[in-house]
Amino acid sequence: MAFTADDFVLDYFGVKLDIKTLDMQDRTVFQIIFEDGREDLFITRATLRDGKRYWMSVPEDPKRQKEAVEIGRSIVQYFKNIGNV
Amino acid sequence: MCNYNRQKVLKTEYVTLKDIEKDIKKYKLNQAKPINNGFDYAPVFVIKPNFSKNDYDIVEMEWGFLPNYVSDRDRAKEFRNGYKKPDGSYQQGITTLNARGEELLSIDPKTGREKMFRDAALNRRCLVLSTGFFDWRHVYRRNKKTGEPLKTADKYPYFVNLKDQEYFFMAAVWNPWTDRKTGEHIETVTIVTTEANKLMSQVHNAKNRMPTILDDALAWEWITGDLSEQRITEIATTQYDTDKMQAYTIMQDFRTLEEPTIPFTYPEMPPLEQTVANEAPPSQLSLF
Repeated sequence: MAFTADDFVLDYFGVKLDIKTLDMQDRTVFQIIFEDGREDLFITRATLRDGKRYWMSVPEDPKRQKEAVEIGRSIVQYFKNIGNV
Repeated sequence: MCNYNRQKVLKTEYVTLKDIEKDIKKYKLNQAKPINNGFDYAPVFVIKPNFSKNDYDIVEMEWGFLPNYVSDRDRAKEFRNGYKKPDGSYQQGITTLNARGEELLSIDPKTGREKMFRDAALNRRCLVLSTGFFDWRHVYRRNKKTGEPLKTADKYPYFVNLKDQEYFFMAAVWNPWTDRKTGEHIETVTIVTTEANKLMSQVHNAKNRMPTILDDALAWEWITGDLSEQRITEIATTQYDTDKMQAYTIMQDFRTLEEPTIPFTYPEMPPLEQTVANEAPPSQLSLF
C-alpha cells in the first residue's frame, strides 16, 4: 500500500498503527490500520449537542468507541508533538 | 436530536456522520482488489435497502448464494464443489454465483417446489456494485488441411464496462446464512443474468449470457419497489443497451497483473461489431 506524506505511525498498547489521513465531507477522517490484523477503524471528531468535541468511530460501532477515543487522543498528541496543533 | 455511538449530536452533525459513512464505503470499494474471482467466494460490495426501503446501505456479502438448507461450512464446500456420496456415486457441485433472470421465480410444475432463488427474488433484492467484468470470447480456428473448425476454442479475455459510468449496478438477490455448527452469520449473494445483448453475444459467445445491468431508475425500483412477479421478471431480464457498453481485449494473464484492465490487441482477433443500427428492437424495458 502506498502511503502519502500525511500518513504516520502510532503505537497503541504495543500494536503498531498505520494512520491514513482522509478528507470526507470537509472533515478529516483517520483510517486506522492495525498491524495485528484487526479490522480497520475509521474515526473523526464530531461535535456533540453541548458543543464539546468527541472522537467517533464511523460507521457507528459502540464496541469500537473506546478504541476511537483512545486512538483519537494519541493522534492529537502526535500533532501536538510535531507542532501542528 | 439524534444519537450517534450513544452520544447526543445535533441532526446536522448526524447527517454529516452518515454521509461520511457512505464516503468510507465508497473509499473501501476503491481500495478493494481489482479482480473478484467468483470461485474464491470472496466478498463483494452490495447495495442493500434498509428495512423501511427508503435508503440503502453499502455492505459486503459473500459472492455465491447459500440456501438455508446448507447447514455449515463443510456442507457449503460440498454444495459448491460436489462430493462423493455414500453409495460411491458423485454429486455435482452447484454454482450459485449467477441466477438466471428468466427462472428466478420458477416453481417446478411436477413437484410444486420453488426454485432456490424464488424467496430471495420476492423479498431480498439488492445490487452488486461493479466497475466492469471479465468474460471470454471463444474463437474456433480452422484445421489448415480440412478447413473444419477445431474442437477446442482459443479463449480471449475481454474487459467489459459502461462507456460513461465508473460504477454500475447489477441486479442481485441475497440470503442471510448461518453456520449451524459455529454460529457464523453471513449474507450471501448471487448476480442475476439475462440473455446477452448484441455486444455480449459476441464476447461471451459460449454462453450468450450477461449480467443484468440496471440504470439508476430500474436499480432503485429493483431494491425498493413493491413489485409484482411479472415486474420482477421484467427487470431481471433487462438487457442493457449495447451502445452504452464497451468491450476490449486484455492480456491472457490479466489475473496476475496489478492493472488487469489495460487493453491488449490480438492481431488475429476479428473486431467486435459495436453498431446496433440493424439490430432487431431489443427487449429493453420502457421506463415510461
